[in-house]
Amino acid sequence: MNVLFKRLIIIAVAVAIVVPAVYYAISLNNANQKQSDPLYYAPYDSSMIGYVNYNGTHLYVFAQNRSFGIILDTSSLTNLNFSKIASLTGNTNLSSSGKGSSFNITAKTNLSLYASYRNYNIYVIKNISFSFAGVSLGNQSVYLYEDNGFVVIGNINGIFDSINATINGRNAVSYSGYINTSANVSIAMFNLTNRFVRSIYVNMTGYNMTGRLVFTNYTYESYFISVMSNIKGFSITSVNDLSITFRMNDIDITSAYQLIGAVNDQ
Amino acid sequence: MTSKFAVAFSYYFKNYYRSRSFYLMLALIVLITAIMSYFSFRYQGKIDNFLSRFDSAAINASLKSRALDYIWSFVLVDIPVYAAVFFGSPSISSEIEDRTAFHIFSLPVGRVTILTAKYAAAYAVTVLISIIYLIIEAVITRTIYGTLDLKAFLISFLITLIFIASVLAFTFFISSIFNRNIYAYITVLIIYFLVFNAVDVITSLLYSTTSPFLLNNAANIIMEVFVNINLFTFSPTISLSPAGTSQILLAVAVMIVYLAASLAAAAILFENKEAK
Repeated sequence: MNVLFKRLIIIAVAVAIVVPAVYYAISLNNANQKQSDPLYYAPYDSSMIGYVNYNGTHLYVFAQNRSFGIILDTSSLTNLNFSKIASLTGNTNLSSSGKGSSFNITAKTNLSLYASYRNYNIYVIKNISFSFAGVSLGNQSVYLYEDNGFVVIGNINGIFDSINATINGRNAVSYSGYINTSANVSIAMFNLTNRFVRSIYVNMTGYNMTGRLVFTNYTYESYFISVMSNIKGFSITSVNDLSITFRMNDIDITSAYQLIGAVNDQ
Repeated sequence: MTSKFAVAFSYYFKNYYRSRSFYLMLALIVLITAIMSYFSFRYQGKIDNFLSRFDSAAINASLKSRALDYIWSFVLVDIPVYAAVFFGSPSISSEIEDRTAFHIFSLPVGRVTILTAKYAAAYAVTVLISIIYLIIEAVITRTIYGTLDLKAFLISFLITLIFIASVLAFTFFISSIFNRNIYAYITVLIIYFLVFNAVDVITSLLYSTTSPFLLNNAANIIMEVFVNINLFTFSPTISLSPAGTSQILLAVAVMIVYLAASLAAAAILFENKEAK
């Protein structure tokens, strides 16, 4: 066989494999960069990261000093009815169409474009009122933006921080290990300014809770252990230096308040 | 052509498994496997401690077995690299350096046939060595925890086979550039362990992520199919779940790119080689 012809065949076969593989790898990488991980939209310096699984709808929350946000995976919105949200606001001014990356919220009255920031459109919902766990808030404004099938809702600082986190790559993806997505509620709080506790990791499934607390010193740790050992359903599973892991079964509102009180040295 | 390939393959395969390189690699594998087995039994409690840092409620035998397989795979990802350096680096350069090219180039066998037969033989011995480690890994995991995540193990095994093909092709390509074995050895080691890692550090610093297009990062998927932990970055990502499908497909695509491009380049360079 002609040597030149042989080389051409080798090059053609290589190109036929390499080019589609490179294209496929780049498109997969871009999709991965966009992330299926909702924590991609939470800032790296968040002091609290949380996860809520409510009947199959997944929410992530993040918070720090001046900002907070809720990250909503719209592909999990099978059980969320937007007409219910609209009725909560007292208006029927929200409607949704589609899901996943083509998720849209159509504004009628209260939802309006607030600003465009680093190529993202930020929307505002004005005069929203809601109540939860006995706390009522009226005439609030919340801001939101959408990217790759995720909707981030929060205060304006939360939205700015979230957008900056995605663009600058300073996101909270590396904190995913602290969140247990098989629990109904999972919360991780880091670098707390609390005098007694440095960090808190809690997972709740049904009425059972497991968690880990890292104390600032041994006095508070032993105080916490002595207070909590009297509480029904509470047991300490391990103590390692300033870190303790615990389990709490059949948790109710009283024992939850007792736990919060003990963490705050009350 | 098929019979010529079969003859060349059996010749090179015998050549490889009778070589000192093969017995050295075999001895290394037996030693590493023995050490890993000892550590697996001796320090199995450490896996519980490590996992309980994340979520004590999620710890079960299946998760612990995957965590153990992750640690075994941590060592496994480097085994094909060393095997490739031993078997692949001198593959073409040795024909020139040892002057065997005078004999094989004059044979009525195409150079592409010689190259592919030698590549297949090197691949077979590398797989043989890696399989010893993988079998012991499965046995130890099953013995300690009474369970083995077979799906994750088979995926890891299949990706290991692709990775071996890929890293061997890369060493064949480097070997085809040089006429001296020592240059091929050093270049492969420098590129894989120095250049790739340097690029990795830079991308980690600048973008807080590892570059998925480097072969060494693609190889990490061999362990991440068990537990998705990436420690090779300045902001390590830790998830107790296995790596997702898109992550696996991306790594496999990268390996295939290295495989096809390296083999094609090696074939063309080998065609141009002159016996000196």
